[in-house]
Amino acid sequence: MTQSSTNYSIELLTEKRIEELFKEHYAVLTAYAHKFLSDLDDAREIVQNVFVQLIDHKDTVKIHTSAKAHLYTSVRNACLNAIKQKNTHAKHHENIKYLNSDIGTGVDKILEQTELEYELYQAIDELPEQCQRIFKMNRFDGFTNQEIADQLGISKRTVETQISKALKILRNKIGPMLASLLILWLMEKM
Amino acid sequence: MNENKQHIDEQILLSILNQKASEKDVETFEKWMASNPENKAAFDKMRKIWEKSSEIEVFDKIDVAADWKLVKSKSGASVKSRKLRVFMRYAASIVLLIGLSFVLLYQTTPGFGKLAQQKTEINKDQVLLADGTQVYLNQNSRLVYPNHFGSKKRNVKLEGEAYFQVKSDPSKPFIITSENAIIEVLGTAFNVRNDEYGRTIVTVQSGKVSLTDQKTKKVVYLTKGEKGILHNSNLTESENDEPNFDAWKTGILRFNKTPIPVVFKYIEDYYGVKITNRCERIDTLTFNSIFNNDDIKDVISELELHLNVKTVKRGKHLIISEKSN
Repeated sequence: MTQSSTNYSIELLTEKRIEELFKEHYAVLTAYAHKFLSDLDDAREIVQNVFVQLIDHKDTVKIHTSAKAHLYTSVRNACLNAIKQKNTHAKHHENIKYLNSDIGTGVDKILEQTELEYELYQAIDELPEQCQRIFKMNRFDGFTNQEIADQLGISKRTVETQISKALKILRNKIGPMLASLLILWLMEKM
Repeated sequence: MNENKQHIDEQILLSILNQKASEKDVETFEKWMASNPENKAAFDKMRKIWEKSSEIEVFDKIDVAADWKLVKSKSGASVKSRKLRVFMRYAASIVLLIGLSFVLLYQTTPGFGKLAQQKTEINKDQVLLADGTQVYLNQNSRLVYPNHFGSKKRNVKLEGEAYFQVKSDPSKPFIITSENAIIEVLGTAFNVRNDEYGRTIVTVQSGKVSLTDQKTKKVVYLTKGEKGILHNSNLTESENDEPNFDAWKTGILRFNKTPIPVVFKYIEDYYGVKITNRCERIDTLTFNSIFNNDDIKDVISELELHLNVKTVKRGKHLIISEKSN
């Protein structure tokens, strides 16, 4: 993590710095917004607009907290506005309550969870090529092992071996982060 | 890791996660779980990863580099608009008139309301279709697609070249009509190119694709690493020998013991230049390198260094000749 995103200071924004921030936070910000809006394109647009504003007003915007905190606050507010504008489904009420609650100073559980999920995703993304493709087809696309075997022209047994291998690698790699994941998942269930 | 103090076949653990374990497997599994608390901890961990990994697919659909380009193209609009406001008022009325005439045209063209199209000239572009399929369009290409897909099939039409990352949906085949070819898939990633010789070339990166000749109804099935070519009702299938088939999309050009004339062909294609080689000696040489979104200047200077030649650039024309002392 760079110093400027952890220190509380007034940051000078250049386009290069904004690009760095984008690369560092875009995936997690978008996944975070997606949790509230349940539409990926809406989520992408909201996060993109936050960055567009940042570029267009980089000379006048003053960030008094960390850059990261500024980005999350902007995305939260934009999500809240988007939900209010749509103003329809009952299931969004929980989201409004959550977004409205004062977590500016406290811990944003959903954010922490999204960050940890991203760590797991990155670990999956670093798996060996064949292993990764098979694991993603099973877990992301929901194919059965037989369907994966048919599509890739390999045996079902090979598919199973690759999935075991993936799980073994992931298990070893994400040991430390798992403790915190377990706690969050437990809280989810409560 | 010492979690396997007492050995268990990983496949048994997997069948438990898939809820497809036989009674005998369940018995073996329960014994193993009870034999050591570490075993139970290890399996709990495995199960968490298993469950959680099915909920994070969203990250796979976020393309940070592509979206950054979008942000860059959207930015600056508010600043410009201030300067252009007066001009825009006049321009707007003209645009409105043109727009209205287009609307009229569109409405009188049957079926147009349902369809959308994306067309490229000098710039590449990408389109996200209603079903989540991502299409990257190369230069001078055109994709026609419905705003909403029907309930049975997903039909699109392509001219030029495009790379498809088809969203998987086994109940709705994705069908591309391109020149005389029909390409049908369930969910996978592949490239379709119509080249200057009238050939349609389909190169598969993952999954399985069928390529059909509209005229003869002949079909070939292509899987990962294969390509199919349709040329004047001649349908062939072979291993993909072109490592750079998707260079236009990734920006990465790979050369691995590639003969120099072939290297030049790729550079011509990728950078849109014409190369004349006045130095026969290098035709028999090969070249190894990887260029990742590099400027043509860097490519040329690496070639000059490697081949000991000099290059003269006249606009889009490069002339390669012996280095004179």
